[in-house]
Amino acid sequence: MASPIILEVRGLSAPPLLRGEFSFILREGDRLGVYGHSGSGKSVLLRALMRLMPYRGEVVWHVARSSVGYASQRPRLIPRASVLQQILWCAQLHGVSLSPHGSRIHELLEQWGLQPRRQQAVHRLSVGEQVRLEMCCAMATASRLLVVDGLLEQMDERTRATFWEEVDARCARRELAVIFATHSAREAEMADRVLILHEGRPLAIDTPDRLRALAEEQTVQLRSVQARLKRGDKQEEVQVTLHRRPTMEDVLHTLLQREGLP
Amino acid sequence: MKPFARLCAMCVRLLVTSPLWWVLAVPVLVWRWRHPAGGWLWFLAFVLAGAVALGVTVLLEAGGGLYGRIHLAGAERVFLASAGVALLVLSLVLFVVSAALR
Repeated sequence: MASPIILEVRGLSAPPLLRGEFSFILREGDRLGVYGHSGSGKSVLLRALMRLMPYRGEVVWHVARSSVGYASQRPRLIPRASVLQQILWCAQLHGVSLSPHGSRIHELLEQWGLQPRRQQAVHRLSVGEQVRLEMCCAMATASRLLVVDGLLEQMDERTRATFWEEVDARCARRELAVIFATHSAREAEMADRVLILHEGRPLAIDTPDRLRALAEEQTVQLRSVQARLKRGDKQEEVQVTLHRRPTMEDVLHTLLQREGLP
Repeated sequence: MKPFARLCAMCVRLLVTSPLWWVLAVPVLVWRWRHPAGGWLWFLAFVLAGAVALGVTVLLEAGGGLYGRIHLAGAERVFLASAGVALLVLSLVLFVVSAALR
């Protein structure tokens, strides 16, 4: 049986930045990656979904808005608040009960490496720590859906691993659905489905495997490998051909070629 | 009731840590001390100072980040109500302090 629907999008557009019409359904436990180059309209799409800007078409939420956690590309934190206050305030606005001395808040602070900074003012945090705090606030408030706008690229490897660990566990239990925007081909492949867009238009939406099938297997020839022969000083050029799986970037190129787009 | 009280506490904290609120409230306190005008007018001045400071915090600080969060959580009404209560309580405290100073 299919999981309950969380979000339905029908013919969504937001001219002039989002010129194409977007339609998809998001179910419980889904991980939807929005992939495209910088300026392709990923953030605009997410902002329109969150009703933070005017749009055309239909966006139907089947869950309460307070159950949605949103991590913005630019952390929206109150500079004079402490780390702990910031998380508690976000939780309070979403109606999530978090006690400053409870186990959940300590778990979150530990998970995002913010425990030593819990009493520090936000403006004293480094950029990386502010990104982690923004993610921590989104995680604290996301009880049904988490929307992450381009923050994954700003995180270090360890924090990204923490993020995916938590998301995988919660998605597997069908507690949470995730939409994330990224311009990293590798990150996009972490999703169950990838929506590829270019210049504000949707090119394809499907599973990473099916999308990869659209692009041909890539071959890379390395010509400059030189080997010194044992006898004499002759040098020989060796050609090595590597075959690699197509990435989302290759898929994007293939789709652009098919559509005749630059 | 508890979530509402927590939001009120959040608004009070946002106000008392706001430099703008102090910049506006302290002159009102001083004027009230020096000029014996109608009492409720001063109370209104304290409310206005708080409203301006909270409005700036919500709409302008961190690029309107707090407004974005309130809108996102669909908590506009409850936040407005709690902000109103916080403003009245703080203004009343200042009003009483200013009356005691005179």
